[in-house]
Amino acid sequence: MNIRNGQMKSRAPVHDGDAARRAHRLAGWLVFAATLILIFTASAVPAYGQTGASTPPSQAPPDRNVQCVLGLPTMKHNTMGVLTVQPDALRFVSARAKAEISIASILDVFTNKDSKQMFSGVGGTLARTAVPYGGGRVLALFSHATEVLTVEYKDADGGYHGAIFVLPKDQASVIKAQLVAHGAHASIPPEAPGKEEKKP
Amino acid sequence: MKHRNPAEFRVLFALVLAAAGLLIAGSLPARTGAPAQAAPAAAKLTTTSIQIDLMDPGDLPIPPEFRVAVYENLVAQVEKANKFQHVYRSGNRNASSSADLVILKTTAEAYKKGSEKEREVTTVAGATSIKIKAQFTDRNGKVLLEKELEGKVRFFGGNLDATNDFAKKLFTLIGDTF
Repeated sequence: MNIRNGQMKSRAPVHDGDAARRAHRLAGWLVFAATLILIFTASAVPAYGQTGASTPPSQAPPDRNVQCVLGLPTMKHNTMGVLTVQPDALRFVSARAKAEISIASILDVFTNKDSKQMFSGVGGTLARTAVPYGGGRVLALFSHATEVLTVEYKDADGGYHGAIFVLPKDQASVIKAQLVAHGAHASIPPEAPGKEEKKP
Repeated sequence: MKHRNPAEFRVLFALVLAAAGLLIAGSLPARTGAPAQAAPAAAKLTTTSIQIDLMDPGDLPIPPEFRVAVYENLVAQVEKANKFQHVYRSGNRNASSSADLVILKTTAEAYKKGSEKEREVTTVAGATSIKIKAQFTDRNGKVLLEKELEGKVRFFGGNLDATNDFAKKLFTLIGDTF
Protein backbone atom coordinates (compact mmCIF):
# COMPACT_ATOMS: atom_id res chain seq x y z
CA MET A 1 0.00 0.00 0.00
CA ASN A 2 2.79 2.26 0.91
CA ILE A 3 4.46 1.66 -2.41
CA ARG A 4 1.17 2.18 -4.27
CA ASN A 5 0.52 5.32 -2.32
CA GLY A 6 4.00 6.45 -3.14
CA GLN A 7 3.38 5.75 -6.84
CA MET A 8 0.11 7.59 -6.71
CA LYS A 9 1.76 10.55 -5.06
CA SER A 10 4.62 10.64 -7.51
CA ARG A 11 2.40 10.24 -10.61
CA ALA A 12 0.02 13.11 -9.85
CA PRO A 13 2.62 15.90 -10.29
CA VAL A 14 3.83 14.25 -13.52
CA HIS A 15 0.29 14.51 -14.92
CA ASP A 16 0.10 18.14 -13.86
CA GLY A 17 3.41 18.88 -15.53
CA ASP A 18 2.30 17.16 -18.77
CA ALA A 19 -0.95 19.06 -18.79
CA ALA A 20 0.82 22.34 -18.19
CA ARG A 21 3.29 21.56 -20.97
CA ARG A 22 0.46 20.63 -23.33
CA ALA A 23 -1.46 23.77 -22.42
CA HIS A 24 1.68 25.85 -22.99
CA ARG A 25 2.29 24.20 -26.36
CA LEU A 26 -1.35 24.64 -27.34
CA ALA A 27 -1.21 28.33 -26.36
CA GLY A 28 1.93 28.70 -28.48
CA TRP A 29 0.25 27.18 -31.50
CA LEU A 30 -2.85 29.30 -30.93
CA VAL A 31 -0.72 32.47 -30.94
CA PHE A 32 1.02 31.25 -34.08
CA ALA A 33 -2.30 30.46 -35.80
CA ALA A 34 -3.75 33.83 -34.76
CA THR A 35 -0.70 35.58 -36.19
CA LEU A 36 -1.06 33.69 -39.48
CA ILE A 37 -4.74 34.65 -39.68
CA LEU A 38 -3.77 38.28 -39.06
CA ILE A 39 -1.18 38.12 -41.83
CA PHE A 40 -3.64 36.76 -44.36
CA THR A 41 -6.27 39.28 -43.33
CA ALA A 42 -3.79 42.12 -43.65
CA SER A 43 -2.58 40.92 -47.03
CA ALA A 44 -6.17 40.50 -48.25
CA VAL A 45 -7.11 44.13 -47.55
CA PRO A 46 -4.83 45.68 -50.20
CA ALA A 47 -5.98 42.98 -52.63
CA TYR A 48 -9.60 44.10 -52.20
CA GLY A 49 -8.43 47.70 -52.56
CA GLN A 50 -6.73 46.83 -55.84
CA THR A 51 -9.78 45.11 -57.32
CA GLY A 52 -11.95 48.03 -56.25
CA ALA A 53 -9.57 50.48 -57.88
CA SER A 54 -10.06 49.14 -61.38
CA THR A 55 -10.66 52.73 -62.50
CA PRO A 56 -7.65 54.51 -64.00
CA PRO A 57 -5.04 55.13 -61.28
CA SER A 58 -4.98 58.84 -61.98
CA GLN A 59 -8.62 59.05 -60.84
CA ALA A 60 -8.07 56.91 -57.77
CA PRO A 61 -8.72 58.63 -54.44
CA PRO A 62 -5.58 59.78 -52.58
CA ASP A 63 -4.00 57.03 -50.54
CA ARG A 64 -3.62 57.69 -46.85
CA ASN A 65 -0.84 55.15 -46.54
CA VAL A 66 1.95 57.32 -47.85
CA GLN A 67 5.03 57.50 -45.68
CA CYS A 68 7.19 60.60 -45.81
CA VAL A 69 10.54 59.03 -44.94
CA LEU A 70 12.44 62.34 -44.77
CA GLY A 71 13.06 65.62 -46.53
CA LEU A 72 10.07 67.82 -45.69
CA PRO A 73 11.13 70.52 -43.21
CA THR A 74 7.88 70.55 -41.22
CA MET A 75 7.50 66.78 -41.03
CA LYS A 76 9.11 64.31 -38.70
CA HIS A 77 10.81 61.30 -40.27
CA ASN A 78 8.49 58.44 -41.29
CA THR A 79 5.27 60.43 -40.96
CA MET A 80 2.18 58.85 -42.50
CA GLY A 81 -0.21 61.00 -44.51
CA VAL A 82 -1.86 61.83 -47.81
CA LEU A 83 0.14 62.84 -50.88
CA THR A 84 -1.65 64.74 -53.62
CA VAL A 85 -0.66 66.71 -56.68
CA GLN A 86 -2.14 70.20 -56.82
CA PRO A 87 -1.95 72.43 -59.94
CA ASP A 88 1.05 74.26 -58.49
CA ALA A 89 2.44 72.02 -55.75
CA LEU A 90 2.99 68.55 -54.38
CA ARG A 91 1.11 68.46 -51.09
CA PHE A 92 1.64 66.12 -48.15
CA VAL A 93 -0.84 66.30 -45.30
CA SER A 94 -0.42 64.36 -42.08
CA ALA A 95 -2.65 64.33 -39.02
CA ARG A 96 -0.71 67.23 -37.50
CA ALA A 97 0.99 69.19 -40.26
CA LYS A 98 0.95 70.11 -43.92
CA ALA A 99 3.85 70.60 -46.33
CA GLU A 100 4.06 71.65 -49.94
CA ILE A 101 6.74 71.51 -52.60
CA SER A 102 6.16 74.03 -55.35
CA ILE A 103 6.19 72.34 -58.76
CA ALA A 104 8.35 75.15 -60.14
CA SER A 105 11.03 74.34 -57.54
CA ILE A 106 11.25 70.64 -58.42
CA LEU A 107 14.61 69.71 -59.91
CA ASP A 108 13.95 66.04 -60.58
CA VAL A 109 11.58 63.18 -59.76
CA PHE A 110 12.46 59.49 -59.52
CA THR A 111 10.52 56.35 -58.78
CA ASN A 112 11.91 53.03 -57.64
CA LYS A 113 10.41 49.69 -56.72
CA ASP A 114 10.93 48.35 -53.24
CA SER A 115 9.36 46.08 -50.70
CA LYS A 116 8.44 46.64 -47.10
CA GLN A 117 8.34 44.15 -44.26
CA MET A 118 4.81 43.58 -43.03
CA PHE A 119 6.08 43.30 -39.45
CA SER A 120 8.75 45.95 -39.14
CA GLY A 121 9.85 48.32 -36.43
CA VAL A 122 9.59 47.75 -32.70
CA GLY A 123 6.10 46.25 -32.94
CA GLY A 124 7.21 43.83 -35.63
CA THR A 125 10.24 42.76 -33.62
CA LEU A 126 8.03 42.13 -30.58
CA ALA A 127 5.54 40.16 -32.69
CA ARG A 128 8.34 38.02 -34.10
CA THR A 129 9.75 37.41 -30.64
CA ALA A 130 6.33 36.41 -29.30
CA VAL A 131 5.94 33.52 -31.72
CA PRO A 132 7.23 30.34 -30.06
CA TYR A 133 9.81 27.89 -31.37
CA GLY A 134 11.59 30.52 -33.47
CA GLY A 135 8.54 30.81 -35.70
CA GLY A 136 8.94 34.57 -35.69
CA ARG A 137 11.42 34.31 -38.51
CA VAL A 138 8.61 33.04 -40.73
CA LEU A 139 6.88 36.39 -40.22
CA ALA A 140 9.90 38.12 -41.74
CA LEU A 141 9.08 36.38 -45.05
CA PHE A 142 5.90 38.42 -45.39
CA SER A 143 6.41 41.69 -47.18
CA HIS A 144 4.44 43.79 -49.59
CA ALA A 145 5.55 45.62 -52.69
CA THR A 146 5.94 49.37 -52.41
CA GLU A 147 7.19 52.14 -54.62
CA VAL A 148 9.57 54.90 -53.60
CA LEU A 149 9.11 58.44 -54.89
CA THR A 150 12.14 60.71 -54.64
CA VAL A 151 11.65 64.42 -55.26
CA GLU A 152 14.64 66.75 -55.52
CA TYR A 153 13.80 70.43 -55.12
CA LYS A 154 15.32 73.78 -54.16
CA ASP A 155 14.27 76.23 -51.47
CA ALA A 156 13.83 80.01 -51.78
CA ASP A 157 17.62 80.55 -51.41
CA GLY A 158 18.43 77.97 -54.07
CA GLY A 159 19.52 75.34 -51.53
CA TYR A 160 19.11 71.69 -52.54
CA HIS A 161 16.57 69.47 -50.75
CA GLY A 162 15.40 65.93 -51.31
CA ALA A 163 12.23 64.25 -50.10
CA ILE A 164 11.54 60.52 -50.04
CA PHE A 165 8.05 59.03 -49.96
CA VAL A 166 7.08 55.37 -49.75
CA LEU A 167 3.79 54.65 -51.51
CA PRO A 168 1.74 51.54 -52.19
CA LYS A 169 2.65 49.63 -55.35
CA ASP A 170 2.31 51.63 -58.63
CA GLN A 171 1.21 54.83 -56.87
CA ALA A 172 4.54 56.65 -57.22
CA SER A 173 4.47 56.32 -61.01
CA VAL A 174 1.01 57.94 -61.01
CA ILE A 175 2.18 60.85 -58.84
CA LYS A 176 5.26 61.30 -61.03
CA ALA A 177 3.15 61.35 -64.20
CA GLN A 178 0.85 63.95 -62.63
CA LEU A 179 3.80 66.11 -61.56
CA VAL A 180 5.33 65.99 -65.04
CA ALA A 181 1.93 66.82 -66.56
CA HIS A 182 1.85 69.92 -64.35
CA GLY A 183 5.28 71.00 -65.54
CA ALA A 184 7.73 69.39 -63.10
CA HIS A 185 11.13 68.49 -64.49
CA ALA A 186 12.09 64.81 -64.65
CA SER A 187 15.35 63.58 -66.19
CA ILE A 188 13.75 60.18 -66.78
CA PRO A 189 10.31 60.36 -68.43
CA PRO A 190 7.50 58.72 -66.45
CA GLU A 191 6.69 55.12 -67.33
CA ALA A 192 3.33 53.45 -67.17
CA PRO A 193 2.53 52.21 -63.65
CA GLY A 194 4.09 48.84 -62.90
CA LYS A 195 6.98 49.24 -65.32
CA GLU A 196 10.52 49.57 -64.07
CA GLU A 197 12.01 53.01 -64.64
CA LYS A 198 14.90 52.97 -67.09
CA LYS A 199 18.03 54.42 -65.55
CA PRO A 200 20.10 56.82 -67.68
CA MET B 1 39.25 17.88 5.14
CA LYS B 2 42.41 19.62 6.25
CA HIS B 3 41.83 22.62 8.50
CA ARG B 4 44.21 25.57 8.21
CA ASN B 5 45.19 27.42 11.34
CA PRO B 6 44.79 31.24 11.64
CA ALA B 7 48.49 31.81 11.08
CA GLU B 8 48.33 30.12 7.68
CA PHE B 9 45.29 32.23 6.77
CA ARG B 10 47.14 35.37 7.71
CA VAL B 11 50.09 34.44 5.46
CA LEU B 12 47.79 33.58 2.56
CA PHE B 13 45.86 36.82 3.01
CA ALA B 14 49.08 38.82 3.01
CA LEU B 15 50.27 37.06 -0.18
CA VAL B 16 46.96 37.75 -1.97
CA LEU B 17 47.05 41.37 -0.84
CA ALA B 18 50.64 41.76 -2.07
CA ALA B 19 49.76 40.21 -5.45
CA ALA B 20 46.79 42.52 -5.84
CA GLY B 21 48.94 45.50 -4.93
CA LEU B 22 51.57 44.48 -7.51
CA LEU B 23 48.90 44.13 -10.20
CA ILE B 24 47.47 47.56 -9.45
CA ALA B 25 50.92 49.14 -9.32
CA GLY B 26 51.80 47.51 -12.67
CA SER B 27 48.71 48.84 -14.38
CA LEU B 28 49.06 52.40 -13.09
CA PRO B 29 52.03 53.51 -15.23
CA ALA B 30 50.32 52.06 -18.30
CA ARG B 31 47.21 54.12 -17.61
CA THR B 32 48.93 57.36 -16.72
CA GLY B 33 51.49 56.88 -19.45
CA ALA B 34 48.93 56.40 -22.21
CA PRO B 35 48.03 60.06 -22.76
CA ALA B 36 51.67 61.04 -22.64
CA GLN B 37 52.59 58.52 -25.36
CA ALA B 38 49.63 59.45 -27.57
CA ALA B 39 50.27 61.81 -30.43
CA PRO B 40 49.47 65.42 -29.59
CA ALA B 41 45.90 66.22 -30.62
CA ALA B 42 45.69 68.09 -33.91
CA ALA B 43 44.61 71.69 -33.65
CA LYS B 44 40.87 71.99 -34.16
CA LEU B 45 39.58 73.75 -37.25
CA THR B 46 37.53 76.87 -36.72
CA THR B 47 34.91 78.26 -39.04
CA THR B 48 31.53 79.91 -38.76
CA SER B 49 29.93 78.43 -41.85
CA ILE B 50 29.88 75.19 -43.78
CA GLN B 51 28.43 74.25 -47.13
CA ILE B 52 27.39 70.67 -47.76
CA ASP B 53 27.76 69.58 -51.36
CA LEU B 54 25.81 66.77 -52.99
CA MET B 55 27.34 63.31 -52.78
CA ASP B 56 29.24 62.27 -55.88
CA PRO B 57 28.04 58.71 -56.62
CA GLY B 58 30.92 58.03 -59.02
CA ASP B 59 30.21 55.01 -61.20
CA LEU B 60 28.32 53.18 -58.47
CA PRO B 61 24.67 52.26 -59.10
CA ILE B 62 23.38 54.14 -56.07
CA PRO B 63 19.60 54.63 -56.19
CA PRO B 64 18.38 58.26 -56.06
CA GLU B 65 16.59 57.75 -52.74
CA PHE B 66 19.86 56.57 -51.25
CA ARG B 67 21.72 59.68 -52.48
CA VAL B 68 19.00 61.92 -51.11
CA ALA B 69 18.94 60.08 -47.77
CA VAL B 70 22.72 60.44 -47.44
CA TYR B 71 22.44 64.17 -48.10
CA GLU B 72 19.49 64.90 -45.85
CA ASN B 73 20.88 62.86 -42.94
CA LEU B 74 24.23 64.58 -43.40
CA VAL B 75 22.65 68.04 -43.22
CA ALA B 76 20.63 67.00 -40.16
CA GLN B 77 23.72 65.71 -38.32
CA VAL B 78 25.86 68.75 -39.22
CA GLU B 79 23.11 71.05 -37.90
CA LYS B 80 22.78 68.88 -34.80
CA ALA B 81 26.53 69.16 -34.14
CA ASN B 82 25.92 72.87 -33.45
CA LYS B 83 29.48 73.84 -34.41
CA PHE B 84 28.63 76.31 -37.15
CA GLN B 85 26.61 79.50 -37.24
CA HIS B 86 25.46 78.79 -40.79
CA VAL B 87 24.91 75.46 -42.50
CA TYR B 88 24.39 76.03 -46.20
CA ARG B 89 22.90 73.49 -48.54
CA SER B 90 24.38 72.96 -51.98
CA GLY B 91 23.34 75.81 -54.30
CA ASN B 92 22.47 78.25 -51.53
CA ARG B 93 23.24 81.77 -52.81
CA ASN B 94 24.07 83.12 -49.34
CA ALA B 95 27.08 80.83 -48.99
CA SER B 96 29.18 83.08 -51.25
CA SER B 97 29.04 85.89 -48.69
CA SER B 98 30.78 83.82 -46.03
CA ALA B 99 34.49 84.59 -45.70
CA ASP B 100 35.62 81.46 -43.87
CA LEU B 101 33.42 78.94 -45.65
CA VAL B 102 34.34 75.27 -45.31
CA ILE B 103 32.92 72.91 -47.91
CA LEU B 104 32.04 69.30 -47.10
CA LYS B 105 32.34 67.07 -50.14
CA THR B 106 31.36 63.43 -50.13
CA THR B 107 32.26 60.77 -52.70
CA ALA B 108 30.87 57.24 -52.70
CA GLU B 109 33.64 54.63 -52.74
CA ALA B 110 31.68 51.42 -52.35
CA TYR B 111 28.05 50.43 -52.13
CA LYS B 112 26.37 47.11 -51.41
CA LYS B 113 22.63 46.90 -51.45
CA GLY B 114 21.42 44.32 -48.97
CA SER B 115 17.97 43.00 -48.29
CA GLU B 116 15.81 43.71 -45.26
CA LYS B 117 14.09 40.37 -45.69
CA GLU B 118 17.39 38.47 -45.72
CA ARG B 119 18.51 40.33 -42.60
CA GLU B 120 15.30 39.55 -40.75
CA VAL B 121 15.24 35.88 -41.71
CA THR B 122 18.91 34.95 -41.44
CA THR B 123 20.30 37.68 -39.13
CA VAL B 124 23.77 37.24 -40.65
CA ALA B 125 23.16 37.92 -44.35
CA GLY B 126 21.72 40.83 -46.30
CA ALA B 127 23.67 43.71 -44.76
CA THR B 128 23.57 47.03 -46.63
CA SER B 129 26.73 49.12 -46.58
CA ILE B 130 28.02 52.30 -48.12
CA LYS B 131 31.58 53.59 -47.91
CA ILE B 132 31.97 57.32 -48.42
CA LYS B 133 35.03 59.57 -48.53
CA ALA B 134 34.32 62.81 -46.67
CA GLN B 135 36.50 65.83 -47.48
CA PHE B 136 36.51 69.19 -45.76
CA THR B 137 38.00 71.82 -48.06
CA ASP B 138 38.32 75.56 -47.98
CA ARG B 139 36.88 77.88 -50.62
CA ASN B 140 39.95 77.38 -52.86
CA GLY B 141 39.68 73.61 -52.77
CA LYS B 142 42.53 73.03 -50.31
CA VAL B 143 41.81 69.83 -48.39
CA LEU B 144 41.66 70.50 -44.65
CA LEU B 145 40.62 67.01 -43.60
CA GLU B 146 39.83 63.78 -45.40
CA LYS B 147 38.35 60.62 -43.92
CA GLU B 148 36.68 57.47 -45.17
CA LEU B 149 33.54 56.47 -43.30
CA GLU B 150 31.22 53.50 -43.65
CA GLY B 151 27.52 53.28 -42.98
CA LYS B 152 25.99 49.87 -42.36
CA VAL B 153 22.75 48.23 -41.44
CA ARG B 154 23.39 44.67 -40.32
CA PHE B 155 20.43 43.25 -38.46
CA PHE B 156 17.17 45.15 -38.31
CA GLY B 157 15.91 48.16 -40.21
CA GLY B 158 15.49 49.38 -43.74
CA ASN B 159 18.33 49.81 -46.23
CA LEU B 160 18.22 53.58 -45.87
CA ASP B 161 19.30 53.24 -42.23
CA ALA B 162 22.85 52.76 -43.58
CA THR B 163 22.84 56.44 -44.59
CA ASN B 164 21.86 57.44 -41.07
CA ASP B 165 24.68 55.32 -39.67
CA PHE B 166 27.16 57.10 -41.95
CA ALA B 167 25.80 60.53 -40.95
CA LYS B 168 26.14 59.68 -37.26
CA LYS B 169 29.80 58.77 -37.80
CA LEU B 170 30.31 62.09 -39.54
CA PHE B 171 28.69 63.81 -36.57
CA THR B 172 31.41 62.30 -34.35
CA LEU B 173 34.10 63.37 -36.83
CA ILE B 174 32.81 66.96 -36.82
CA GLY B 175 32.80 66.93 -33.02
CA ASP B 176 36.46 65.84 -33.02
CA THR B 177 37.55 68.21 -35.80
CA PHE B 178 35.77 71.53 -35.14
